[in-house]
Amino acid sequence: MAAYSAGTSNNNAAPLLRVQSLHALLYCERLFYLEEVENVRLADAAVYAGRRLHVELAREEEGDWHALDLKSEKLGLIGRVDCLRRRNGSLIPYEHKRGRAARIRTTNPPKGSKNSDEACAWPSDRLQVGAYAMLVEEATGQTIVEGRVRYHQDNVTVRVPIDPALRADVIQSISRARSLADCVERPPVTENERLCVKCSLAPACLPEEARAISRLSSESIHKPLQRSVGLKTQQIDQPSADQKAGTGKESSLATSHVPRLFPADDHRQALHVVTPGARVGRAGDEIEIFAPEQPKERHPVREIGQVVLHGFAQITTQALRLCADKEVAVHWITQGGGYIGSFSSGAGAVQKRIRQYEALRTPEFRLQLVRRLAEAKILSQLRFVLRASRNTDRETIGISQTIDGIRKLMPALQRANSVDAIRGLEGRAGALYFKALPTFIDSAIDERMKPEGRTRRPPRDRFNALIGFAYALLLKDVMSAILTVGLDPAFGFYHRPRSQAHPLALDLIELFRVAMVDLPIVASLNRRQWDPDDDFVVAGFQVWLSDLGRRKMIELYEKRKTDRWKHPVLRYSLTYARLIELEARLLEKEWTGEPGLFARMRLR
Amino acid sequence: MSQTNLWYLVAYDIRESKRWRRAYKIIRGYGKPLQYSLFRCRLSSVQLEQLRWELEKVLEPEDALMFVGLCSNCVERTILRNRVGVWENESAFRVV
Ligand code: SF4
Repeated sequence: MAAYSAGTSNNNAAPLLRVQSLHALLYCERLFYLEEVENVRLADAAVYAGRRLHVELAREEEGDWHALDLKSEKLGLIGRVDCLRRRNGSLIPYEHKRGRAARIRTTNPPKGSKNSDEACAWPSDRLQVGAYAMLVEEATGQTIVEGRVRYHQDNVTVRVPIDPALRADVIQSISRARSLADCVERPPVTENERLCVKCSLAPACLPEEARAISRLSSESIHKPLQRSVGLKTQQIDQPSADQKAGTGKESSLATSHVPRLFPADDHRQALHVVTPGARVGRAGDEIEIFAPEQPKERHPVREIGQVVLHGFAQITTQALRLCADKEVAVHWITQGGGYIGSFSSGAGAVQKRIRQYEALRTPEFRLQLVRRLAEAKILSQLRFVLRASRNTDRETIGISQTIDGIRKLMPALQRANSVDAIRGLEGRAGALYFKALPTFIDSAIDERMKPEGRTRRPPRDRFNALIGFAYALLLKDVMSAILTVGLDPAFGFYHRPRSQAHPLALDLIELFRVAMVDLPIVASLNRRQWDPDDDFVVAGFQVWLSDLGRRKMIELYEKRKTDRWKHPVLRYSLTYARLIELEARLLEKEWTGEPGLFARMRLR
Repeated sequence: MSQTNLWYLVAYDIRESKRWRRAYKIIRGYGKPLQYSLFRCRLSSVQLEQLRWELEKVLEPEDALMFVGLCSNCVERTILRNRVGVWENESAFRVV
């Protein structure tokens, strides 16, 4: 959030460059770009370890130690010098590093010395000290001839001469940084994969996914899509056949041994507050919940990923602040199970939004995205129909007609040349699908649990009450993902802005409806998990979930989020909870130069 | 960087009550207390360093602080042998 630091003091000129950013620049140009231009900053373990070192140093030096903030309009730099000392009359900037020094082999080791390696500064540290020296020079008017880097792990101090070559390096790096900052295109991922393993930005940069895209030729990226359009029943029916079909080129992705950089699951809990009259507050760094007639609960804020307030639950300003600070999303859902809105501190990078607007305003591009989204949704529906009717006689219950009907729409979908045409096709598929849905439910189940068509708000039957509430739950997660990634939820590509829900969220949700809502609900009905009397409240023509029913639905949905799913192209598995964020990131890649992976989501 | 979270037992021995209270308050934001000066925390590498830094600001050289990393097997066995309610399996959600 605090993306605009002191560096932006000069209004006319480009913002000053942080000296640390030169470090990033030397590591990987894409890292520099993500951090400095797109303002994507994820905390790095090394940053905190460095701060701890400074606390220890300050204690050792007994208050005699302080860092110095310096800036120079001329160089276009801003930075903090760890320490400045006077040695033999001249000033020397010191830089403290936690790690080890670099080593070079000395050709003539001094006699009697076992160690033939001489400690020296890493190139990025040299550059940093050089930049600090030049800042100090400008501030004091004294010429600096030497800087020092102290490496604490091997306890050595290395001297760095501030010579013309180093000065030239600093100047050159600054100008390289400037030209990258002016560029609208994000630099490609680094060729050295090992760098990514240690890079704090990997989960946002998605280097493996970017490499996957460039490794697969565009032909093989699009083939599986085309092929699935005309699939025979048996092929769709057996996921293994589908998997085998694609292994030719794609398996090469699985062979790299780099550890997975996009986390497979989220350990943080979703905290749902449903008890009427409950209040969420803050105690230190803990979230505190007071619910009538229940013992007070406290949760460490870092164990909470989101707080969902249902109905009339309250939250204090202090708790909201804590959530904003620790990146915990807060969502509101009505008593009736409708989504109201979300609060999230997310990364508000303007660069990202400008690109999103530009990309989504290009009609051709938009049409392509809409087609892929609709295809993903319809194929998921089709697969669910096939799966649910696997052991039945499709002819007699009329499912064959549904299947044929949906299949026939697929070639038309490929040909459709307007968003409206695609909308029409998707609507027809949806109608066929919802008509078939009741047949998936065990005939012995209470009649009251079966749907009579799809009714939106307000729900007219128990089935729709379940589905409606679960969509609201899904919507909050999709919103969270969009805000985390830093996209603008108000600017979508498929849905028209209408209700209070944000169009981009409504777009993305289409990918997950069948797998995360429809399927688990139908399965739970068949497991006889619902009580038509206790779990629902019937008010005239409207049906709502009772307090008990709401709790059950939350449990069903949240459990589904922890199920793992294997991505058909990336070939790694992750939870549905994480998949939502992955899809939001892949969507953004569609317009940041690495297209082809968004909306590959299919029901298995 | 690996983003996986690992379990740690965090134990400390702090000689002065004011510092003890400050440290206690900091750790409560990271994990749940098991006993008086013993916590269980699931931390990413970033959080681990962040916590160490925050505590370092409070502690004095005479205080002790220990992080014991636990693998998932250790955690499961620990949970098995506990008395009930000391350290339970965490679910992905909580409904109040
Ligand atoms: S993950 Fe790799 S490519 Fe991406 S910024 Fe980091 S080092 Fe560069």
